[in-house]
Amino acid sequence: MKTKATIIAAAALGLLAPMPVLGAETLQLVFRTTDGSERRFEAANLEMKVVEQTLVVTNDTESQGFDLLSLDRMYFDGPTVDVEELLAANSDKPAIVYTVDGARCGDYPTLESALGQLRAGVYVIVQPGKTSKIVVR
Amino acid sequence: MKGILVASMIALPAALAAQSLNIAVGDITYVVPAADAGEMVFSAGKTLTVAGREFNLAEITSMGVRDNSLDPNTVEVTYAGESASVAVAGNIAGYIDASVDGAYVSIIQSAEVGDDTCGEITYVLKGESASGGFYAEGKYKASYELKGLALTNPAGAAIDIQNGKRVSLSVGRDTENFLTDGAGGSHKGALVVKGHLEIKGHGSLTLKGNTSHALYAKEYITLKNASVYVTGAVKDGLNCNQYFAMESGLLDISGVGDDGMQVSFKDDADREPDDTGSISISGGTLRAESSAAASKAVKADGTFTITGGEVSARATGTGKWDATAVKTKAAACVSADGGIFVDGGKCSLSASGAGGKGFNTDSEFRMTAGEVEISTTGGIFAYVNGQIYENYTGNTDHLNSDAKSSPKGIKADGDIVIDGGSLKVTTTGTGGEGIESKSELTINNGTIEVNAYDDALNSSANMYINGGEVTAISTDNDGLDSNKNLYVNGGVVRAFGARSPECGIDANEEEGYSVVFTGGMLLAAGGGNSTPSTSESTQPYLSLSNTLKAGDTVTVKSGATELATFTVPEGYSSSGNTGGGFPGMGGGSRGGGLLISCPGLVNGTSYTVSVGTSTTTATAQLKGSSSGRPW
Repeated sequence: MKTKATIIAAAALGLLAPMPVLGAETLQLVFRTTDGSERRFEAANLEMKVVEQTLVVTNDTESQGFDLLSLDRMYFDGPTVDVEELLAANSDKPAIVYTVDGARCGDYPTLESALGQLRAGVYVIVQPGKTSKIVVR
Repeated sequence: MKGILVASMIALPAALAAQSLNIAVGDITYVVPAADAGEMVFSAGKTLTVAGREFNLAEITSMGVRDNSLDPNTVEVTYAGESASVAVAGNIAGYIDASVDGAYVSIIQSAEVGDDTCGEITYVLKGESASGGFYAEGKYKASYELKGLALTNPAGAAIDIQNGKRVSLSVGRDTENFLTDGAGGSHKGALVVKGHLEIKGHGSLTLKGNTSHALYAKEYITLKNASVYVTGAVKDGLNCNQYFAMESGLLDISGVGDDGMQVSFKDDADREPDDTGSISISGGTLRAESSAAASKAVKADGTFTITGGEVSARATGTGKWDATAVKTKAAACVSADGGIFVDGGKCSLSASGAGGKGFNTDSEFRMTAGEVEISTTGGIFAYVNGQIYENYTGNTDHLNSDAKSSPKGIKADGDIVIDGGSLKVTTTGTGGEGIESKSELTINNGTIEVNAYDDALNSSANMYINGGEVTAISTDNDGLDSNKNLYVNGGVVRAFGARSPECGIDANEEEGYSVVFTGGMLLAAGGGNSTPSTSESTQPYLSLSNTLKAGDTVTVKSGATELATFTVPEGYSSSGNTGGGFPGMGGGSRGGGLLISCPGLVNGTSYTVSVGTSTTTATAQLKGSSSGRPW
């Protein structure tokens, strides 16, 4: 049986988004306002437009305007995917493993070898050209 | 069993990877895969930071999620007539500053780009514009891919890459690409690269330079697989420093105003190991033409080396008088100051202008393998009493060497050494020499066939024939002419000179030098022949007076034993240079001086010599009683 993993959005190297809500069926764009509340939109055909001090977000089914000053951040939240497929293209590449606190756990010749040695926890994996966050249970 | 949840920036399933956030600022769109977008932070209602790049919200012209993608580390530039658009992959959004003005695109690659950040960036260029250009800066190696680009910049270089590092230029498979620059500018080419340029790919690239060169690189250029055509240039078709190396593909240069291609030293004062000024061809096809006075189809400050592939070079320019250098200069198919080395491949060279040469080097010429065929048809270029002559037929003996330039198949200021291969040279213009060394000329092996107006083979120092098959025919001078000693130590030599006083073989007897025979088979015919005057010569020779014609068979027999057989080559004309000969030498046709040397001859022994249908007897001798020449 294949292990299931969840894709989350990752920012530039080292900047990772919060862990997503598991089981989202479609890709969504999540807007978080400065008061901590979140608003989700189906990402398909989503358009955003700045009109004066308002960000107008529109997709096929709904539309909403956000006061720009009230917006804190936005991120994508996606559907679950198959971890084996996900790792297939990268498992043989070298990996440097960090804790989420930034402590370096070790350098590994391949991602596969790293996964075989890590204890349960959340880690940041740095490989040539990409960064990943994994949760080992 | 461990459970693993993965958050990945890359390697996503197609369903997700295909969705990207597109942020457009004018004609520049940043394509950020949803999976790579991470947290996109708003700040004070003014800016949005995505993938490391801060966007001014007021400048964003559109923003949305699209079913598209762009490979990481990629910038895609698309030209469409009077406009152009740029797409930047999200992962490098923070490292690219692009601007678009009409169809003029400028991209500044951040100095932060490197191994520790995003690595090498690839720029993909496509589309068409007759009034556009591409300019880029960078401090880290970069790749460029041309995928069907037709770009004309009336105001400058079509592509100008100011990046001093390695620049890879891939010509997309099965695509045709065209770059043309504007006239009257100060730029150096239709395609300009500050660093070293590596051209590859399986498409074609056509260049035309309307201000200066067509293709210019400040450092080296390599070519692999791609087909590069230069259809015109005000100056050189290709001009670069350090070196040019061709592994495969095609480089076709025509319509140029100066040299076909020129490779120079980058820095004469402080030369790096790479700065060889050389041209090396190991495969592919190089075709180059030049037509300007004294221009070179292929020119190198350093060496020219061919180990494989084909070189076809044609120089049609006449000579010119350089008033500053106070000397004449002439055109050449291949000119290399540091030496010319033929170790394989095939060269076809054709020079038709006055003084035009096939191979010309200030240093040595060496050949070990391959095929070379050279023809020159021009006459002597001369500057005499303030007048230029493009086919000087007067007596050149009184002219300073700087005042004239004679056509030659091969001219080397240094040694010429031929160890193998096939070499065929034909010169038909007045004064055209076949192969000339200003130093020593040595043939150890190979097949050499020269049919020249002037000396077929000439050396300023000793000449050595140690092996190989040498056929040397001159219609107006000597077959073999050494200005010191002439050694025949091996091989098969057929040398034919013109009427007296010219010789089949000629050593500088006037200054005490001699021909020396220690081996090999030699047939020499002309108005006369030098004969040995030194005990160094150990293989006897026969001297006769016969007139030969093409196709004749010359046989030497000792009784019934055949010692040597020669066939007079088809390229030999018995009428040769008509006119009065020296007394007793059969003036009116080529002289009847015939000299044969071959193994098995014994000094003082008589042998039967058949020439065509006539038979005569000659006695072998080791040394001539005096000069073999009648003057």
